[in-house]
Amino acid sequence: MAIISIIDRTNPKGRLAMLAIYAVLFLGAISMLYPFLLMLRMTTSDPIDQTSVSILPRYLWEENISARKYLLKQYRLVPARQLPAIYGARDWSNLNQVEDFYDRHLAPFDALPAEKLATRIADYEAFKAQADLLQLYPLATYRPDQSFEDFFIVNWLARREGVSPKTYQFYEPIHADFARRDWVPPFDKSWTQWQDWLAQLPPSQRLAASAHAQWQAYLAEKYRGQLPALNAAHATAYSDFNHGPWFSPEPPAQASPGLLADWTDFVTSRYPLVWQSLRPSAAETASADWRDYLAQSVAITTADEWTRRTGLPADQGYTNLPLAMPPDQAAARWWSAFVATRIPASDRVITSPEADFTAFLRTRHPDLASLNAAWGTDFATWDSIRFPQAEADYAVIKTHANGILWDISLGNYRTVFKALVLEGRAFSNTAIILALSILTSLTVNPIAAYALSRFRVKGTQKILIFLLATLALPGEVAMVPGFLLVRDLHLIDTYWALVLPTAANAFSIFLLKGFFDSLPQELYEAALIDGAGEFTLFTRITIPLSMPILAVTLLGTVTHAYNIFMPAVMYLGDTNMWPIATSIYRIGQTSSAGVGMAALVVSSIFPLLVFVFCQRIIMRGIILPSMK
Amino acid sequence: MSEVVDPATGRPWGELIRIEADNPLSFPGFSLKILNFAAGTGEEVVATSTGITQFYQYRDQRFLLPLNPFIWEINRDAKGRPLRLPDGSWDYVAGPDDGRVLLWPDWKNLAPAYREMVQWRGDLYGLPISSSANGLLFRRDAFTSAGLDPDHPPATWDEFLDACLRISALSTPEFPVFGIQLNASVIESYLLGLGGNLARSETTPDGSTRWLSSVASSEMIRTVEFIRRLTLTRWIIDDQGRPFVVHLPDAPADLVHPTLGEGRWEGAPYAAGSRFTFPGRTYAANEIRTGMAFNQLGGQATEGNVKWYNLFTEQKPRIGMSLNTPERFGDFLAAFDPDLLDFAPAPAGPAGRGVFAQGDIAGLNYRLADDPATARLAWNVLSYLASSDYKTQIVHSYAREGEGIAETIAPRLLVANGYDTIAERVSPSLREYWAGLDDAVRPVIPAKNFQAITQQYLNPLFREASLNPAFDYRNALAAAQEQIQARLDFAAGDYSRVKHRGLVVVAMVVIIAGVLIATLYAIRSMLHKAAASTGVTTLGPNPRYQVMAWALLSPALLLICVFSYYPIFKALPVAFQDYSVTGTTTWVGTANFVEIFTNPAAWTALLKTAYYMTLSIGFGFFAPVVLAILMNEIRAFRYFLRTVYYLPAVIAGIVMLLLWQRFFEPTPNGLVNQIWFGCIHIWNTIAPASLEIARQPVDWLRHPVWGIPAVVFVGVWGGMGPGMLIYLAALKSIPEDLYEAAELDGAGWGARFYHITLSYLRPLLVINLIGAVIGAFQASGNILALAGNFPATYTFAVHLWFETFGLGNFGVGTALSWVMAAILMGFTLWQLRILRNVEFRRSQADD
Repeated sequence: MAIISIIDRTNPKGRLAMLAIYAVLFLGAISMLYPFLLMLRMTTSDPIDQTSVSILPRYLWEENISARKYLLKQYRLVPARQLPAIYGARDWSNLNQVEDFYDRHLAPFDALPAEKLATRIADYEAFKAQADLLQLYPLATYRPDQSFEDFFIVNWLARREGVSPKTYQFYEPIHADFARRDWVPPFDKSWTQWQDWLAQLPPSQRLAASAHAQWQAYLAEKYRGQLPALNAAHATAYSDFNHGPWFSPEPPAQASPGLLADWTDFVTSRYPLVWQSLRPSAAETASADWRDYLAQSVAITTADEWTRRTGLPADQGYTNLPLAMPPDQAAARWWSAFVATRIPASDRVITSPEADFTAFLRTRHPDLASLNAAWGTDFATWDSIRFPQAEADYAVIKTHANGILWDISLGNYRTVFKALVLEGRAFSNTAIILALSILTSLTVNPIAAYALSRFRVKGTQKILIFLLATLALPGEVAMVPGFLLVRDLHLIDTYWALVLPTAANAFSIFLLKGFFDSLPQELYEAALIDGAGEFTLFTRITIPLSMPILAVTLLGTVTHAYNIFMPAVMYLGDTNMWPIATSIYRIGQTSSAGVGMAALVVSSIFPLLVFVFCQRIIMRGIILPSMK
Repeated sequence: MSEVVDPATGRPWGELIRIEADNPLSFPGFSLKILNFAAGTGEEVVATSTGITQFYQYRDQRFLLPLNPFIWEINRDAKGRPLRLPDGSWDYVAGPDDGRVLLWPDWKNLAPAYREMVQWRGDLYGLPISSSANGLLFRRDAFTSAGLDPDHPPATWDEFLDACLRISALSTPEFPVFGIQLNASVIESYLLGLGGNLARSETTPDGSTRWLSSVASSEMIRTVEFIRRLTLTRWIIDDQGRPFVVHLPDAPADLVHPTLGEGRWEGAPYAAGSRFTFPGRTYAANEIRTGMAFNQLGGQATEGNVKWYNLFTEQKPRIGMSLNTPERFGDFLAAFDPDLLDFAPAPAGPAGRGVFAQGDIAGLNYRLADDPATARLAWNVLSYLASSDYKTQIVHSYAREGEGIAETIAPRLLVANGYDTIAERVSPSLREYWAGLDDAVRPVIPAKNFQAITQQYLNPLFREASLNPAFDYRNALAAAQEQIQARLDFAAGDYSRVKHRGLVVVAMVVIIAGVLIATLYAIRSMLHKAAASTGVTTLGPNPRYQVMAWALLSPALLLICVFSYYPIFKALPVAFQDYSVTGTTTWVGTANFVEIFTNPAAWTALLKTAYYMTLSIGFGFFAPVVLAILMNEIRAFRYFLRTVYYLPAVIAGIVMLLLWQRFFEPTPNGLVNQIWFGCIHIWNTIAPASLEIARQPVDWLRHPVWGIPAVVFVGVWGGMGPGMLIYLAALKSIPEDLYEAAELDGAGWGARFYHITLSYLRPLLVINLIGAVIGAFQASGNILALAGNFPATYTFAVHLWFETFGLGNFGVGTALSWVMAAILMGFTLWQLRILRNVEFRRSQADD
C-alpha cells in the first residue's frame, strides 16, 4: 500500500495498475509452481511416463497408462521378451512403445462374461500350482497387504533366516533363460534357494514360460516376418503369425517337408535343453559314445573320476547316458554339448509348457467343445491354446484398481521412507548436526558481538574488517589445505568437521553487534547500579531483548546446517553418518527418477514448514542498513 | 580369490585390503580421491572404474606405487629396499627375459598395448584388470531393410559411408533414421585407420620424451572431412527409392544420375530454400536431406548416450550402427532379441584397423612404500585380479549367466574352458572382431592431461565442423594444435618454449606489483581512518573489561583464524609451485602465472564472465527488488504469493540444479524445449510463411548465446525468494505517512517512488550490489552442476575449477585465485568502507 496510494486505487488508472501487478505476480507464481508440481508428479514416474512434462498425474484416470505402469512392475523379474509373447503382439517389444495398450489388449475382456473369465483363470492357476518349477518365472502381482518389494526373493531369504535384508543387498538371484539352447542351471546353493522360493510362491505369482513364443520368433526371423514366404515354405495358408503354426512337442505329423525341416532345425539349434530328455532306447545305444566323449573332451576315463568331478554316483550319469540333464553344473554342460551335437531330434523327448498345460486341461475338460464352452473361446485344435496370462492380468487390474493406484502414487515414498528413516540415519544425523550447529554458533557469535559492542574493545573496526575480509576470497583454492587441516586436527569422520569451520560467521557477528549497539545503555547502567554482574547483564537483559535477531541467526544456522552437502561428502567417509542433503543426492543417483524425486520432496518438508511458520520472525528480524 | 591370504596373520585379504573403484557419489569431473590420498586414507589397491584416462590421472597425481620390484627382480640394499641406478632406472638383476628376471609370469599374457600403457619413464604403475576395445555394433534388421547384407557388415570406411547413406534413406519425415551414432569413437577409429594419431612422441636431445600434438596433420584434416561427409552430405531419394548424393561439403559431387540425367542446384546448396532439379523432376527444399549420422559431437556426454540407446533399441531401429564395446553388446542382448543385433570389427582404413584400448587399470597406493608387508599382500590381490586365472573365473561366471553375455567373451577363451557350444553360436562377424583385436588395439596416449586438454580444444571444433558448412577447419585445426602444444608443454613441466616469455613475466610483475601496492595502500588508509573514529559514544575503551572482552572474542577469532585464514595462507605459496597432494612438490617460480597470461582460454573466460555478470546483476539482482516492490502493493493473497516465491529456496541447492538440468534437456521431451515448441507454434500460426521457424530442439545449456542466460535464469529463479523477503522487510519499514504527505504535496507515484522508496533502500541496495558482483564473479558451483565445463558457459570461475580439479594443476588454480582476488579487491574494499559507515536497525515490518 505504498507507492500506489489508497486514493489512487479508486480511479481507473490505479485499478488497472493494480490489476497489472496482480497479473504479473500470478504469472510469476505459476512459473514458480510449475516445476514443483512437476516434481510432485514425477514422484510417481517410472519409465512409462518419465519423459512427460505434464503436471497432471494422468495415470489416475487413464487406464492405458496405469495398466502399463502396473504391469511394468509386475513383470520386473521376467525377461523382457516374454511380455509381447504373452500378449501375442508383434509390433512392440516393451511397454514404452505401445500407448494404447489397455484399449488393444485388455479392454476386449470387458465383453467376456465373468464366469468364463474366472474359469480361464482358475484352470491356469490350477496348472501353475502343479507345474514343473523349471517352466516357471516369478511374477509380482499386486497384493493389498504387501508391497512389491516385500515379495522378492531377497526379503524371503532374510525372513527365512531371521536376518536383516541388508545382508543380502548384493545378492544376485539366478534367472532362468529359456531362450538359450545351452542354458544350464548352476545347481548350487543359490539355485536351490531360487527353486525353494519358486516352490513356495502362490500360483497367482507364477508365470509359465512359453515355448510357443520362441518358435514364432524363430520363424519370424527365418522368414523375415514375411507371412507369404512362410506359407510357401510350409505349404499352409495362415492369415496371421498369431494364428499358427503352433509348436508341438512331437515331430509334426502329416507335415510338409518345409515344416518338418524347420521344426527339426528349431529343436536342435534353439530349443532349451533343460526341457528336453532322451528316449531310453536312444540313450542306451549312445552310452558308449557318451563315455568316449567324456574321455576325449574332459578326460574322464573312470567312474571314480566322474564321481570326483561331479559328485554324482556312477550309475547316475557315467555308466549310461543320462536321460535328462544331470543335476550338477559341469555334468549338465557336458551332457548338453553331447546331446546337442550327437543326438538327433527324433530321439529326443520334448516337453513344452504349453503341451503340459494342454494335457492338464484335457483332464479337466473332456473335449475341445466343452473347453470352448467353458472358456468362451473358439480354439480349433488343442495345440493352439495359449496361456491365459493376459486374462489374469486383466482380473488383477480390475479387482485391485484402487489399490494399484495407491501403490503407484505412494510406492516411491515408501521406498524413500524406508531408506531414510527405517534403515538409514539421515534424519537423526541431521538432527545431531543441527543441534551442534545451533549450540556452537549461538554461543560463539553472540558473545563475540557482545564483547565488541559493550566493552568497546580497542581496535574494534580493525577486528571487524579482519573478520569480514574472509568473505572476499574464493573458496576452492583453500579446499585441499583446509581438508588437510581438518585431518591434522583429527576431526575427520566427526560431526565437528562440519560444524566448526563455519561456526563463527563474520557477517552475523557484524549484525549482532549492530543490534546490541542499538540497545539503550540506560538499562545496563540501571542494572549495574542494582548490583548485577556482567553475566547477569548478558543473560537477563541482552538476550531477551535480542530475540528477533537471534531468531534470524538461528534460522540462518538451521538452514545452513540442513543443507550441508560438500563438507559432508569430503569429511565423512562413513555413509551411515551422512546427513539429509547428501543422502538425497545419493538416492537420486542410485535409484530411478521417481524415487529421487520422492526423496527430494520428503527432504523439502522441513524447510517449508520452517518458512511457513517463521515468516513473521524472519520479516521482523531482518536488519536493515541506513546511513549514519 | 579366497586363496589369497595374508601369510603373516592367516586372515583373508578382504579384511585387510580395500579395493574401491570410486567414491559413493560421482560428480561431473571432480574426484574426491584427491582428498583421500592427500589424507592418507585411500584404499590399498587403487582401481579405476572410468577407464584409462583416470589411471593416467592417478599416475600423474602420484597416487600409485611403482610395481617394478614385484614384476622383475631388483637388487636390494641392506634393509631390503629396491635400488635404483644413478640415472633413475631400476637396478635389475640380469636374467633371461629381456635381460631381466621375471617374477610374475602373467606379464607375458598381457596384450602389448596394455603393457605399453602402464609404463611411464621406466616405472610401471598398474596392471589392467579389464580390457576392451570398440567394434561395430549394428542392427541386422536395419541392414536388411536397407538392402545390405547383415552377414557382410562394412569392412572399409568407404563401405561404411555407403551403408550409412542407405540406412539413412529409410527415414520418413516423422521418423528420421540415422546410419551411425557419431561420437568420438568413430573419429578416433577413422584417424587410426589412416595411420594418423592425435599426437606422436619424439625424443629430445637430453633423452626425455616430448609429445607433439598432430591435430593439424593431413590425416586429421581428412578425418574432419570424413565427419563433414557424415553430417553435411546432401542427398535425395531417387525414383527407384535409392539415395543419391547431390552435394558433398568439401569435394565436388558427381551430379549425373544414371536415369534422371544431370542435376543442378537452384540456389546455394546449404541455403534454406534451395532446390535441386533434374530434367523432368525437381526436388523441393524439404525433399533434400542433410547428413546420415546422429550427431553427438561436443554435445552432452552421458545423457546423449541414453537417448541414442533409445533410438537404437526401438522396434524399428532409428540408428543403424554404433562403434561400441562387446560389453555394451552384451547389455543390449540381455534385454533385446538376440537375433537382431550383431557385432563386427571396426571398419579398416588404408593403414588397417585401429581402435584405442579401453578398460580399467589398477595399481597400489603410494603409501605402501612404507609398509612392505601390506604392500606384499596388496600385490597378491592385485596380481590375482590381473592374472589369467581370474579371467578364467570371469569366463565361467559369464557363461553361467547366459543372457547373451557369454557372446562377449573371446571364442578362444570359451573353447579353452569347455564352452564349445556357446562358442559355436558366436556369429562370424564377432569371431572376426576377436581374431583381429590384438592387431587393432592402440595404446591411449599417455602424456599428462592429454585427454582433457585435447578434448577441450577438439570437441567444440568437431561440433562446429560437423554443423557449419563454411567452417575453415584447416586454420582452426592449426590454431588448436598450437594451443594444445602449449598446454602439453606446460603439463610436461617444459616451461622454456613459451613465446616472449621474458616480456610476459615483466608485464605480469608490473601489473601484480601495481595491484598489490594499491591494495595495501587502500587497506592502510582504511585502518587509519578506522583508528581515528572511535564510535558514537564518548566513553573510551575500558581497561577493566579488556581481558574479559578478549576472552569472549577469542573463540570466534580463533575459529576464523584457524579455519579461514590458515588454509588460505597455506594455499598462497602454491601459486609458485607445481603442487602434488602426495608431497613431492616443486617450485616453479612464475611459470604458473605465465601460463595463465598466455592461455587464451583464460581471456575468453574473462569475457564470458563479464557477460555472465551483466546478466546476473541485471536480472538476478534487480528481480527480487522489483518483486518486493510489487509485493508491497498488494493486500490479498500476500502470504500465499510469498510462500510460492520462496519455494525454490526451500529445496537444497544442488538438487534444484539437477532438477533444472533435467528441464533443460536438449531433446524434444525437455520441459524448456516443449515450451519453446509451443512458442514456435504460436509464432508460426500468426507470422507469414517466410518467417517460419523450424521446430528444432535447442541445447540450451551448451548454446553459445543462450547458455549463460539459461544458467542465470536458474540462479534468478532460485534466489528470488530470500532476496524478496529482505527487500520487503525494508519496504515495510518505510512509514506510510511519508507517502501520504508526499501525495498531499502533489508528488506523482514516480516521484514518490524515486524520492522515498529508493532513498530508503539505497544503502541496502549498494551493499547487496557489491556482494552480488563479487558473488557473480566467483560463482562456479551452479554453472558446473548445470552445464559442466563446456565452452558456452566457461567463465573465469569455471576455468579456475577446471585447472584445479580437471587438470590437477593446483599451482595454476591458486595463481588464478590470486588474479581473481586482485580483480575483486577493489569491490571488496568498497563494500567494507560502506559497511563501516552504516548502522543497522531492526526492520519495522509488521506483517
